[in-house]
Amino acid sequence: MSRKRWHIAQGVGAVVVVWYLLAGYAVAADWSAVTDERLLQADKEADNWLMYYRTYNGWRHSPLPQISAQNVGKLVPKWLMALGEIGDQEATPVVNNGVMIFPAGSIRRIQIFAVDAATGNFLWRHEHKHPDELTAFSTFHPHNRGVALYKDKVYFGTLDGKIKALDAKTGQVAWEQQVADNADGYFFNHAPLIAKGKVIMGTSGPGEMGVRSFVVAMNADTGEPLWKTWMVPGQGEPGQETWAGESWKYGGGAVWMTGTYDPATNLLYIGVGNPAPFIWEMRKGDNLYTSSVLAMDADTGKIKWYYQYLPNDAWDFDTMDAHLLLNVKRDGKEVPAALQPNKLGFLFTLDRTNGKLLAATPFIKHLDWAKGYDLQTGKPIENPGKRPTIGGPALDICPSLYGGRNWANAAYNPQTGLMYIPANEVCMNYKYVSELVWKRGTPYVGVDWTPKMPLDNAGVVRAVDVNTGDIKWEWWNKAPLIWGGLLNTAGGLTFVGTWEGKLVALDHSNGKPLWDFNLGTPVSAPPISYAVGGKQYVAVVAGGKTRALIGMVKEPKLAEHVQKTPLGGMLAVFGLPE
Amino acid sequence: MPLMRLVTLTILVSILLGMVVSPAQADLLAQLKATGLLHICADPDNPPFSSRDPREPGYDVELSGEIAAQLGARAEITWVSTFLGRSAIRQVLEGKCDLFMGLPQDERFLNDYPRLVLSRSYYTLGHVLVSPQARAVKELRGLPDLRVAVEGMSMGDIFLFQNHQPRAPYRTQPEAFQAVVHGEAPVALLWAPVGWWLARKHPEAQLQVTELSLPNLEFQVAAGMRKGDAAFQSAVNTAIAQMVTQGKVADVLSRYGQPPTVVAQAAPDVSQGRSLYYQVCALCHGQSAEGGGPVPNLKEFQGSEERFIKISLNGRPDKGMPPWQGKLSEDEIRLIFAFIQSLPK
Repeated sequence: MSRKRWHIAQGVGAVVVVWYLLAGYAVAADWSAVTDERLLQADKEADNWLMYYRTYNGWRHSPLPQISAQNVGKLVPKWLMALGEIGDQEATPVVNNGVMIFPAGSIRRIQIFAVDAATGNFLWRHEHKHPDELTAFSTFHPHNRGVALYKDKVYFGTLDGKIKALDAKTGQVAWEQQVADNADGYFFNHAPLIAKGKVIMGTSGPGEMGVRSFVVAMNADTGEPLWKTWMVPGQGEPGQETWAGESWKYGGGAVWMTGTYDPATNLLYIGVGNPAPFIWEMRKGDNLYTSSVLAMDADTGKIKWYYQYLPNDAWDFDTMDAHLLLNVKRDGKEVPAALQPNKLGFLFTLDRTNGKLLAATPFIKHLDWAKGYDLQTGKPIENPGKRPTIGGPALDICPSLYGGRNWANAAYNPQTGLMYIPANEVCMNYKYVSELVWKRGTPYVGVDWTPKMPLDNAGVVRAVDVNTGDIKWEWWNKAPLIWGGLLNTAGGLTFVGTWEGKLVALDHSNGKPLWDFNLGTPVSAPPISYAVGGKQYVAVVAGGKTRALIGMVKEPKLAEHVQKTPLGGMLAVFGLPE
Repeated sequence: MPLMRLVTLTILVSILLGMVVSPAQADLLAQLKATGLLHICADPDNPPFSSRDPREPGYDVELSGEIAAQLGARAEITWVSTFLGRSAIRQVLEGKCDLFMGLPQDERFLNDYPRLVLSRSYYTLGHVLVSPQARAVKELRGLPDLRVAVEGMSMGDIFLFQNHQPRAPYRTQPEAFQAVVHGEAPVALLWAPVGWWLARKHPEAQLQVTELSLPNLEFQVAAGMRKGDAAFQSAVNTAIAQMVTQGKVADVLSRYGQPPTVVAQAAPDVSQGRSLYYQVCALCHGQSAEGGGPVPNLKEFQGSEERFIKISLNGRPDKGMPPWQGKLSEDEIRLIFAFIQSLPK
């Protein structure tokens, strides 16, 4: 070509190269380091959502008042984003001074997206590819519920048992550690908790025949492992005697959800999942510490106290959810408490200094596995005839394996003193050893359970007075509210997403729906709220969960209904019109 | 409306109705002839049943090759993880493959898959005890304190639990086997194919393998196919019968360490006949083939198999029984006859 054209070509080429190089550093100027101080004072940063629950106490409450019960009817979409994924979309985004970061999980990979929180403009994307040989059980749960922020890094866990740290400005990998072996049945998919410079994660996974779950802490700067605590005691450790024979070896006790943290006492509150295997008769004993809460020292991982919600679980009743930390009034006194409304169908209030059970009030009407709790002993008063036996008859039990409430988070509003719980009124027919399950080339024994809806609607948001346990209002939804979660705001609103695809705003004082928007795909992740440049936004990831239908379609009242909404990962952000 | 439009509309509607109303008659045999390929689904990582390892493909893979050869075709494998039984079997139901080896002939399993039909069985899946020869354990009776290594939550595990036998659970069969090799447990209870195969791989461990006859822990194993192609089904059954009588199954199994006692007999397969009976005959002749009122008790049929076939094909129009010619093949009627013969009188 001519000299002139060659110079032009070189010039264009140079511009292209420079543009390409700069694109990777688009966010360089805009990242505010997330210090220990900022995390401890996260509540005061009204504009931001710096960690999974927004604050260490687990409240999922936004103090932003701009979007209110008066104007929410005008809420409009501001920007949308496709995630290029079906998978399981259950992520809570985090927002740090105008930068939003969140994961999108699937069996093949996890994508971590960083976008401009006001406009949705792309900043960077990191892709973590999963190896082909993921254990099959981890492929049941290919979701990633969120990332954690600390200093200049973003942290997340993977299905193949890694914990990774990325540079928050560029998405480049800062460090990665293989913490657990997926071949053993372990994986990570909750958002890490960062406290005192440590990345704290628990293993998900130990499924029908898993191994023992554990919680680890890594040095956030370097990835160096600091401590590891087993959720089921090992050889010779205290509590091992609560497992018959050698059943402790495969005890399970998965840590499915991010813990909460009390900086005043330096205690982590970790909810532990159910024991494995599912047949309770084969692991007689209390099965510590499954279906329990552990208060662990954040520096050492040592268990300071524990409270077991359900000894020798028979119904897959995990108690893995967040413990909301707040003060309750008991006998005229203020008590620092930890509250967990969980699968068991009760809202539990514990003294968070010592684990003493203060109250267990039901938040669902259809509950018959237990009459209640003995406050002296802290133990459930089980109803006879609700524990299935091998070869025994099918039993009708409430609630179902979904639980009175599943992983969808509850939210607490300090202004109203109410806890908002996404609950499920679903019972089940449940038996052991009825099915011949075939997998891995040979027959196995299975569990057969069929959800049964006593009413026409399965999901209900209930507002509960944390001091009395009284239910103040309720709002019904046809599909159960298993996925997603609630957001509460100082504008007087409770936001909830539904499997039918709607994001709904309720008046938090009476549960009246004030606004909704149809995203066209199940809203399977919890909404958040944040502000940029003085404007408040509400954001939510949607897209559904690939295996969610398997249970729901067995209930005729839901079968057709829940198949109407297609799955497809997306993020939607709403705000007030200009 | 103008005539042409009416005609066009009628033709269109007929075509549409035809597509909707006429049952999809698969013709896999024609496809086999055209492509020379029999599509098999198998797990890439499940030795000794199946594996991607070309040195040891597993006997389900090898036997599927035999079946293909009998059908004049070559087996082409689609690798499918069988951890999730349902999704794996869906592959054959949705046509991603045409044959799924190694499925149990058991009503509890079949009830889950109404669109699945099983071939005749080609071997028996049972259990073995594996222990060191020096301290061989050949049965569990009289040894109530003996710890048995077993895969947790397997059928063997539940059997041991129900029989109050102390169990040492392990995550997988090979791990339970290793426990015996390393002296961690005195004996392991394993699926026979796995036990025989692993013992053979470790001659240095000098192990004793003893078959345990536990009737409710024994399964006849067959190949799964989609319902709706009776000709293909029949051909597969014939191929399996040949495979068995020619000693091919025994050969393959023995190369993986299994003795020939587990090979299915080349006798008519009553579960196939049972399935057909319930689909076609039970409506009139009853769940137990005893009929009632004007409907004959089939268990009391005294005639020959040929006579039975003739009556079934022609029907008894005077008595209200439809002719089954064109709807049931002679082979299928033979299977139904065999099933009725097998019923307790």
